[in-house]
Amino acid sequence: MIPGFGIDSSPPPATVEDLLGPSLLAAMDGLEITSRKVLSGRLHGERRSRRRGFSIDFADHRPYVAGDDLRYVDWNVYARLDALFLKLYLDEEDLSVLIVLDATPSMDWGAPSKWTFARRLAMALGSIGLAAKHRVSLACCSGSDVSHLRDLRGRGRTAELGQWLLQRSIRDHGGGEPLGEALRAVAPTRRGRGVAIILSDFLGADDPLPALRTLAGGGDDLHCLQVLSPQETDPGGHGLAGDMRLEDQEGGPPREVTVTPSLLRAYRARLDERVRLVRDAARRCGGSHLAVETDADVADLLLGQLRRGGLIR
Amino acid sequence: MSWLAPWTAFWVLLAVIPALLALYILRLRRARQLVPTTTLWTAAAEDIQANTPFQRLRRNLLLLLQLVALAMLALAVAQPRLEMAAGRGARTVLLIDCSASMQAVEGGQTRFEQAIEAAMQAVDRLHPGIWFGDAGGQTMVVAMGDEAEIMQPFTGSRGALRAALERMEPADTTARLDRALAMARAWSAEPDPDAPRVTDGPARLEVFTDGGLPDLDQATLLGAETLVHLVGDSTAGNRSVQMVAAQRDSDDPHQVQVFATLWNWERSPRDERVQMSIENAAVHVEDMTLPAATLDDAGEVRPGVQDLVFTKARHSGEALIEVRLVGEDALPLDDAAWAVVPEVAPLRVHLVSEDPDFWSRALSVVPAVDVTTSTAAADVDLTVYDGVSPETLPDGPTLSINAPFPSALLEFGSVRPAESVALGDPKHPVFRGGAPGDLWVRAPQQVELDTQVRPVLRGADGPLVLAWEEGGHRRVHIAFDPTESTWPLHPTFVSFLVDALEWMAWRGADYRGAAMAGDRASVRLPEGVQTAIATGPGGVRRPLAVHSGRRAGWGPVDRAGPWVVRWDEPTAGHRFVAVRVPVQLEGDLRVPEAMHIGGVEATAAGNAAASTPLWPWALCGSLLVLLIEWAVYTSRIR
Repeated sequence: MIPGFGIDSSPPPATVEDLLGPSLLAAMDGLEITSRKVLSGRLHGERRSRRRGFSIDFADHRPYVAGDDLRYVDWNVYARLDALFLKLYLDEEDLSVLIVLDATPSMDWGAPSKWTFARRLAMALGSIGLAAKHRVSLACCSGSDVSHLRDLRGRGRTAELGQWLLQRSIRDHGGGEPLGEALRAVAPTRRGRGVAIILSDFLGADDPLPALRTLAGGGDDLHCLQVLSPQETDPGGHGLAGDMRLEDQEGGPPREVTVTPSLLRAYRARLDERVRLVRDAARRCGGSHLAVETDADVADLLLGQLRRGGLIR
Repeated sequence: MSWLAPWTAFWVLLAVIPALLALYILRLRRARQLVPTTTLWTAAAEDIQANTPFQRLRRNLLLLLQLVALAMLALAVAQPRLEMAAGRGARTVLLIDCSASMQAVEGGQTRFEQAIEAAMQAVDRLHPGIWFGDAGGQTMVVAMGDEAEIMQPFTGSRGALRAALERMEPADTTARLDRALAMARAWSAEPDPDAPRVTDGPARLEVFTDGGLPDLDQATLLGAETLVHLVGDSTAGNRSVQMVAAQRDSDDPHQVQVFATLWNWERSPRDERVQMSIENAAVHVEDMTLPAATLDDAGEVRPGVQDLVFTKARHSGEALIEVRLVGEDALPLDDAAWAVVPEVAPLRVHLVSEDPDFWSRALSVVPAVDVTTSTAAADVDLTVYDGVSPETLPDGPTLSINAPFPSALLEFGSVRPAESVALGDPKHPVFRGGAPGDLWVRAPQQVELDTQVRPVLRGADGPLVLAWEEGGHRRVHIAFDPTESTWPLHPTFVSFLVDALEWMAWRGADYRGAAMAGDRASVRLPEGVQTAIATGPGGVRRPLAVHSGRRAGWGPVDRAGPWVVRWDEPTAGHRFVAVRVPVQLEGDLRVPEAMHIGGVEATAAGNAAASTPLWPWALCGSLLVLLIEWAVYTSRIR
């Protein structure tokens, strides 16, 4: 065993503040999760809707018909035209945000840990959604083993979100296609359409396209955040060398290899191929893909790549 | 190649290779590491381990390279040594025996070819190239024939040395080690004036021979390290035609009498068929049994000798006579010999004497001689001055007897007392038939000699018979009156006359076929011939310049067989010269087990003690393989 290779020696987060520190909280101020699709919410919220509603943004006039609320009659127009018109305003609806968190054993690796990083990112995205009065749901999956936290709304649920994330743990999935099984388990529980964010390393052997289609088929705006550790993207640079017996965190068959530059090149090519496969699958489902490394700063990630990717505004 | 510690290497391999294999068979212990998912990790095939303590050994290049590296390390531990490396880095002279016996065929290959092959291997050993530590050695190649010939001076170039060896050809002569050693020493000691160098003792010698070197006792090594590569098989059998002689019958010169001596070098009698041909036409075929060779007290082989006298054949013209053994043996080269008989024509001798009776009768004993005492004689072959001094040096061969002779090389004094002791020079042609050893001579002349004059018969107080060449002619002077000595009563007197006439003037001397491979051959040509060409066996051509006395010579002759000397002017003609193999020196094909040169036993090639350790190369090889293994590993993990 190479000392420190893929092992996060820092203590895991124990409090909500560990997941969402003050600096991150300050960076999140004013951010909002957006959808590239115009979706209809179920409740009034802070997200502008195509439907007419009750926000302060003027949209149009229409003739008064019996039963209309007289509070919205434009009396200035009546004075000029002697006809009753209603002032129509853009409605503000809530947005359904689903954060799917991969809890397969492969996420429990890396320094910093992919699992910790994913939970912090989920905490940050969930908090942004709650602050924007979006309807935030979370699913923590390991294969078909899914635990849900549904329909949180409002800043007051931030602590509950944090506690729920702190209580999640890595679980064995018993083999098979963990991502596909997880998304097939989550998709039926989805109520309405919205934004679906998947936090996973996508390192299974299966093709991610069918699984993503399962989730995107409901009309969600899909965002795949592929979480990788620096030791995964550059194992040779982090000390992996020599004759090794590689044991699979997911329980797969071990590999006995002699780590040479040529082998590292081949590994890197296969990793890039896997990332490209996930990206193509996400795009074919109308979504986006972003590969992030766990040594990245979450605040920078939110304000930089995720904002440019259209997930955060 | 030898191994100093083979068992150590064995135990190292036994311990290390299973351990290495276990490392590949046993599972690798790996550090555990928790990751979010393993689906992203691409596993290389070899890194996937079965969930058991052991795994199947897969085909693995790294494992193979490591095994090779381990094997080479174990090889280094075994400390192999290459024994062929004797002499590397030194100055070495390769002496190749090119004598006639090296043409003996054994197993489809001649001894000479075997020697060249061994010499090639020696060159490869001495000059393995810079990657295996040439060490700057220099090697020279010397051909050992009757005369030594530098085929390649000292060089470090393996290519030049191999090319020199490929150029070499065996000769039909004997080989003289002392001459080759003298030449090698001269080249070793004499620095190159353009690149002077300090010689560091005598050069090494490597001799490639079948052991048939006649002068082994006379040669001296002067401390030079000597390695002998003996080639050949002692069981090779050989029969030889040692000699062929032919002469015309004194009563009927048109009849040719042919004699031959056959030698058998084997220890058992051999049935042989012998064929005699005149001018390439078979005249007689004889079947006979050659007696077995014997060993004398000194262990030397005495060949079984069979003399053969062929039935007279009629042939008036000049004739080339061949005697050939029809059967096969190891050395076909000496299975034939040749002789030449001149056409029927007597020798014309002009006798100048106040009392010619004695010498007329004496000269008439010599076959085919016409003696004339006429003062008007012209175009004679020889002039005999008996007690008469010519006024000037005669233009022609002369035999002068007991009178001052007008030679610039002789100075005559008073008469000496009688002598009763004589010592002849048996090596001189005039005493080929034998020199008198005990002679009484009355009142011989006192003669002072120039160094060019050879006293072929000496008395107690001075020379008695002189032989020399002067004015382009051979001359013999008898410094006493033979009629006042006991010599005419001695058999050697007649043989002296025959031999002296042959040596000086008789045309038969030019035809005797006495030339032996390695000697200088000569022929007497007709009056007016200025240039001629000698053509030998295999088409070898030698242009000849005719000297005064109408003699032309060339040599040393390296090819045995019939040579033909042709000329075109003033009228076209030809003469045969028969050259034979020195059978007495080259016919014995035994290969000695050890060679003693100048009384010192030379090291046999198989006992060369010097060797080169190879473990550094094995270690370097292992490191190289490890480097390759590292490169392969690195290329895989990048």
